[in-house]
Amino acid sequence: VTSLLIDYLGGELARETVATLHKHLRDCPDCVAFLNTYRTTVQATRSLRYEDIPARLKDRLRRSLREQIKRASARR
Amino acid sequence: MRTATFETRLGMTGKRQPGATDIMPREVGLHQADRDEQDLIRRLQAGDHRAFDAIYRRYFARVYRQVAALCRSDAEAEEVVQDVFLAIYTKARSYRGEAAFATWLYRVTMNVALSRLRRLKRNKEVSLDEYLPSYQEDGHHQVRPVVDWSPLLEDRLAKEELRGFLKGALATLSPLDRAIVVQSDLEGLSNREIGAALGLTVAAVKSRLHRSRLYLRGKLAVRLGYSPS
Repeated sequence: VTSLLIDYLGGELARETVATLHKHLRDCPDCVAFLNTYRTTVQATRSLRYEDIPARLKDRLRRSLREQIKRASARR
Repeated sequence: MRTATFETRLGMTGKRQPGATDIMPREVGLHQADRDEQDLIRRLQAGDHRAFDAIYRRYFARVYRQVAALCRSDAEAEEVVQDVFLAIYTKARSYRGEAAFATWLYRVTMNVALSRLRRLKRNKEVSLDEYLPSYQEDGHHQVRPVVDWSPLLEDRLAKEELRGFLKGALATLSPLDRAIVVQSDLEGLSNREIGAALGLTVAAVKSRLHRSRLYLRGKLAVRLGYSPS
C-alpha cells in the first residue's frame, strides 16, 4: 500500500487499482492510519512558507548585481 | 469508523494545491503583457541593464522564495539568489523561447542553486532509513497497530507548532531531494516539470519524492512520540 500512496494522492492510480485499494483500506486500520499520517505530513509540508524576505535585501542585492553585470557587460 | 474517517477525508485533499501553472507568469493570456515580456527579454539578451532591473523586480520574490526553501540561512539564500540573477543575465541569450520565460528562469534557478549548495559540502547528509517504515515478511507493518497521529499533527500545526521542526527536517535532506520536495509540495509543480528542470525522469522524481515524504513522516512521528513504522 505504501508504494501506491504517491500515485493515489496525485490522482494517478488506475480506477481499478483505486477500487482495490479502497477495499483493502476498509479492512485494514493500520493502512488507513498510515495513509492519514502520510497525507497529513504532505499537507504540513505544503503549509510551510519561506517568503519572509529580509529587509533591504532586495535593494542591496540589486545594487551589488548592477556592479557585477557592469563588469560582465564589459567582458562581453 | 476508521473507514468513514478515511472516506470523509478523501474529498478534503484533492490533488496538488497551488497547481502546476504556478511557475507561469500571472499575466499569461494577456497578450499585451506577453508582448511586453518578450520585449523585455529581447532587451535583456542585448545586455540592457534596465531590462535586467525590470526582470529582477518582476521575479525577485519568486526566485527568493524558491531559493530560501533550499538554503539553511538568509546569508546563504542571499548568495544563491545573487548567483541566480547573475546567471539570468549572462545566460539570457541561451533562452530560445521554446518554453515560457518563467519556466526557463525556474530551471536556471534550480541548476544554480543545486550546484552552489552541492559545493558547500556541509555536514554529512543523514541516512533516511532510520525514519522509513518497515514491514514484516507477510507485508504487515513492523509495529502494529499503526497509530493515526494525524489529528495531533493538525492540532500542533494549527497552534503554529512543529513548523520550525519540519523545516529543520526538510533541511537535512540532500539538496536534490530538498529541491524535489520544495518544488512539488511547496511550489505545486508537476513531476514532469520538476524532472525537466532537474534532469531526472518522472519515475526518479516520484521515487525520491515519496522516500522524502516517508522520511518527513517518520521524523514527525518520532517527534510526536510514535514509531516511524
